[in-house]
Amino acid sequence: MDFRRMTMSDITLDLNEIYRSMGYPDPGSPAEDMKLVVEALLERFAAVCHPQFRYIESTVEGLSPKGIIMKGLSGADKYLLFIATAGIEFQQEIDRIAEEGDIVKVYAADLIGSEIAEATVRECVKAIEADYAPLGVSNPYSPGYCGWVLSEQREIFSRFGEQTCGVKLNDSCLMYPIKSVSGIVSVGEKVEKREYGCAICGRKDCYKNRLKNIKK
Amino acid sequence: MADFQQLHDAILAGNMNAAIAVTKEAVEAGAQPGDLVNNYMIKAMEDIGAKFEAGQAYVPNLLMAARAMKGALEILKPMMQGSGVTSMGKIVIATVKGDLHDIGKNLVASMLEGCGFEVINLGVDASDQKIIDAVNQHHPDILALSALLTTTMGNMKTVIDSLTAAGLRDSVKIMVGGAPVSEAFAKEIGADGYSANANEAVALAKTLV
Repeated sequence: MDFRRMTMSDITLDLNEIYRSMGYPDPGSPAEDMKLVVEALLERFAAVCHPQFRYIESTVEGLSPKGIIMKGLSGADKYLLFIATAGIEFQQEIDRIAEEGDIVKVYAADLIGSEIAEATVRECVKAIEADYAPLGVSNPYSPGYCGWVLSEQREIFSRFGEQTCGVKLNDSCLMYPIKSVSGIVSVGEKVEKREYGCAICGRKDCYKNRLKNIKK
Repeated sequence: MADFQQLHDAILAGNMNAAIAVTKEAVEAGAQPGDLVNNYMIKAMEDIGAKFEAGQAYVPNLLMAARAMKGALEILKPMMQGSGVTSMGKIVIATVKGDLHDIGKNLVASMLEGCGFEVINLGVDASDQKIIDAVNQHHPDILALSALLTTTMGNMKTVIDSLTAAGLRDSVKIMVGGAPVSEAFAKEIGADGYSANANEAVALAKTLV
């Protein structure tokens, strides 16, 4: 299936990842009041959100992901591009939360949105794995990360035509709804999930590496 | 008579309802806004900042304290005109062009507000022109720039270059922050300062005004 519109119960959120993003060193450490904020927001989002994804077969011609990503995609028989999003309903709900003016809720909602988008990508990769079994499927890689320039979002989106899960690019090549992810995976007999970008990149100025160091 | 230390403690604990209640009680008891702000509220923000630096508090604690501070300030605002309570300085803050990440920037903005600065928040994906217009309009003491992505941090330099070209560079101090940014990068692009987190940003801003 190359397109799926889901509910929140179709995706699996990693709550520990949300709390780690807040800086809490271990899953047991979040304060009770913060847990209550997160739980209330999750209920709110569950009532309205429809995360969705679409993927298409394509090529890397016209795209220039950097060496780290190409290494991660190596062995490809095919390349697939994808768009995954927490959805416009999430965006509308977080906009409402922002209007309420509670900075704590806005902060938590933003992190939850990031995790919803990531969980949607995980569902997308699972769907690709099911569709292309027994071929191997790589990890997903996205413009804006691992040195892949953000402007190539434009080329990726052009290949989806109108079928972009409702995600639009602005003139800075940023996506709306904000909690959306575009990217590429490779599929093939020799493709495997290699050690992921952040593990091998080591770029000291990337926030993911900094977070990794904080977690230590 | 309200125990003003309770105001400090409520903000430190991030308890907005308690902070508002104690502030109302203090006002009814004839407390001066300047006394409350300078001796209890800002002190609480400094204390939560110190706990954060010591690894005894996390980002949500900073935010909850800032929220409590804001709630208490709302009570005091009508009384603050002519009360001798002045802004620590004016700051324009923005996430640079090409970057939609605003949580870190908003946290810095909240902490700065909580610590007595007047903050004009331009939001995310702010173009050079939008920033220049804001500097022209608001005459801030400090321009604070944020970026999360390695692919957008370079836009901080284009903002500084644009300010220079517009003849505004010497009129405003520039501080930068965001996960990919470093002290060395800040120096390289000609910024006046760098901070690694929201708490450091407040300390830096105080040295720049």
